[in-house]
Amino acid sequence: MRRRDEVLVGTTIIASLAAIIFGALYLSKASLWTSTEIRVARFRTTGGLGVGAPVNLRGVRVGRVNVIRLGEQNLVEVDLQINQDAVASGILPERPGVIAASASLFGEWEARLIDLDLPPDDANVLADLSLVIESSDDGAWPGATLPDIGELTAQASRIAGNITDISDRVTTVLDDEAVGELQQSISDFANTVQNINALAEQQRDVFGTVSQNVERTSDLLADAAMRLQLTLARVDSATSEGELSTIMANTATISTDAAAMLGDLGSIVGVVRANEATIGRLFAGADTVLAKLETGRGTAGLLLSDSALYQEATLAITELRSLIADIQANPRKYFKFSVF
Amino acid sequence: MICFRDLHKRFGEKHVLNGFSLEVPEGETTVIIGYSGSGKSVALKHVVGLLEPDHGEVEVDGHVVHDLPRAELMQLRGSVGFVFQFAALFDSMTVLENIALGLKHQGVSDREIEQRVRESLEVVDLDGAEQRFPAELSGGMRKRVGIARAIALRPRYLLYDEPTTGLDPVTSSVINALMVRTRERLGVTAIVVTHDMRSAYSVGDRIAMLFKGQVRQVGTVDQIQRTHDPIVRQFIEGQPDASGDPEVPEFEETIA
Amino acid sequence: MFDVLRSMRDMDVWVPRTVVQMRRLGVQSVPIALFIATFTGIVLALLSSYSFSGAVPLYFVGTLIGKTIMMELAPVLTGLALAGRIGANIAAELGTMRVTEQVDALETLAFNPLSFLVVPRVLAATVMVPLVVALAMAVGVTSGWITAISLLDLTTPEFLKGLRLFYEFKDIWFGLVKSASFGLGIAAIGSFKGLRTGGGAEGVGRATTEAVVISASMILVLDAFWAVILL
Repeated sequence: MRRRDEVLVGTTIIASLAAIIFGALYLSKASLWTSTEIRVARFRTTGGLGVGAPVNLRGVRVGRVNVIRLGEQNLVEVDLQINQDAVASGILPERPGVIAASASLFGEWEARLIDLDLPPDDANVLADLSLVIESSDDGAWPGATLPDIGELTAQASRIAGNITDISDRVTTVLDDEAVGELQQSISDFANTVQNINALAEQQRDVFGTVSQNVERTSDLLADAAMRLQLTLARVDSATSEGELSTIMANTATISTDAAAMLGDLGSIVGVVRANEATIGRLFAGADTVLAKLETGRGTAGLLLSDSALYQEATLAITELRSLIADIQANPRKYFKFSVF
Repeated sequence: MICFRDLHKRFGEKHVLNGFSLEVPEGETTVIIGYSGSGKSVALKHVVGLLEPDHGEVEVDGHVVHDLPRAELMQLRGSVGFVFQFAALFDSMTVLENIALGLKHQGVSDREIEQRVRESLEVVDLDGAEQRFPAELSGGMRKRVGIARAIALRPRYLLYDEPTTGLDPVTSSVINALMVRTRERLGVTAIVVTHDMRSAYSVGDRIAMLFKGQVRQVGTVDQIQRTHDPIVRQFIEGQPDASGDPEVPEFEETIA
Repeated sequence: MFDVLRSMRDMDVWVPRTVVQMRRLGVQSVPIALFIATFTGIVLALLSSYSFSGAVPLYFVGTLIGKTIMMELAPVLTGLALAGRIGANIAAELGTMRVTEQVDALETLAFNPLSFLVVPRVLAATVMVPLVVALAMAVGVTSGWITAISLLDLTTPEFLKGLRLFYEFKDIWFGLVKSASFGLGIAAIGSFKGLRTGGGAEGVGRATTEAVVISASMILVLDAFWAVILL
């Protein structure tokens, strides 16, 4: 009886202690059983990077952010704990750099290790990286920060406003004589839209850093912009009032902006796969307008009297604008599936 | 020698002991009789310090019980065996463990314990019941185990609280005989609290009648049997309401 | 209370009896504690996934289960169950011993009832309740994990990620410290109520009820107390 008591009590105590010790060690394993090495990285700014944030190499976790402190020359020093086995196996890049970027919409940031020999094609990032490289010579890894989605959408919103502006002005300069030429030009514009559609199609599969997208997008955009320029030139010659040349000049600068914007937008489109329908509808709307113009419904008089046509075009732009504003205001609505 | 001096004890409104004084001579058995709830058990519990008097004192071997420091009180308790009304055996222990418990606590060796347990059970005619649990025993057997537990300590004093209450007449006789035998064998001084006159006559050397918190009369068995005190007469003869005022108190429950 | 501490000197009296109480109060409480923990884990997993509903990533189920079970539910639910089990057991047993004069008998045998009856129980409960709670924590988290991977669309690594996300060792010891105080309180209240019993079977019933009710209230108050002091 008493013997059995002792055995039972002993067993329970041992089981419980085992549960406590095993549980405690198991749960804190990440920082307890893995030996790490410290590497220092320097940033101009660390954005939202926090202590404990993961350090990733090509998407795989290899360490964590240990300390963040303000350093000399207006730089920030970040101690990265890199797992010993990652260091030992030599998988780290020859010339490592660090990009701090948001990992999700919940404000979690991560530090991505990159190879400086294959730098990201983003002007801001490159500028930051070279700034750090120039100002430090102790082998600390240079770092740069990617803007988060809030900044991108703000830019997109501004540009969308500009586009609306143009389209308004184009509407005012169209007169009887221009219409004939316009029909031709419209078909060019249709091509442009198709290009943009193709762009969206491509972007759907691209989910990488913003900078990669920018390059490809801007090529396509340059093309599109050229066509738009052509279109507007024809319209200009048709009206021969010279008014359009002013718009042209504006368009030239705006299209540069648009190139950058659409690049950013492209990456958003990639992210927004779930909500692609809205965007599709937008482009479809534009297509309908152009199709109507192109088939002409015969004469210029018909075209001009069809006020719905212009309204629809304006509406399409407005819709784009409100979409972007909405993305900006409620990012979760659009990003919840793809981010996690 | 045990000596009660002007003992007062209240439970709430009830003045249970009201100047109780009694001397218990060495080597004799003194029986305290009285109505149920008249404070007999209360007086007994003062002897081992289970209760503290409101006024007055109990002296055992010249020491005032409630003034004793804890260690000496424990020592005193070791020399006093207490047999409870319902035996108060420890339910979770066997008869053997019940009897051995106090011995172990006194540091008696295992072999001696075994021997004393066997002896004590022999005295109460319960040889061989060592491994049984209290729940398996009859009321009379439990009381006998209670007595065995008390005498195993080889006490100098034995206090019996209603030893025959709730037992049939035959079993009562067995217990009475046992109490007599115990005194003859061990030569202890005993106080027996009872309202069973048959028992009082057969075990007592002296009888004291407790009434209204005081000793009404004390004397040898003979003296009590021939008493002229109407209250004592009424009690020992069991007549209901002869004097018109027996005042049977009713707070047995609160004391138990 | 001081008497209890003083009576701890009688080592030879309470040490052997403590093991018995450890089995009765501790080991025999394991099944009920694990039963509660199992179902708590299941419910927590389902409830949390329900309330996250897409807005919060599902792996936070692991975080929520780990934190709430270890810091609050395992200690408090087990504590409440044991307030019933242990508290009633102690109060009823000691109460019966009191009304049948067994406590008096102990005293006449020159025992200190505190060393003999109270210290083993209080000590056993203080030591064993945290250990039982530790098992409940392990089982609760495990049942939450099994529920998460079988009923929810969650993988083991995701669950572990959530579990470890904000984990600190404090989560565990906070729960265990709480549990020890619960055990101490339950046993002390049960003993006190038991030894103070008067008035026969009815008194035992009353003492038992009071012990359980007071212990349960005490657990909730202590719970808040530790949250204020330690968090």
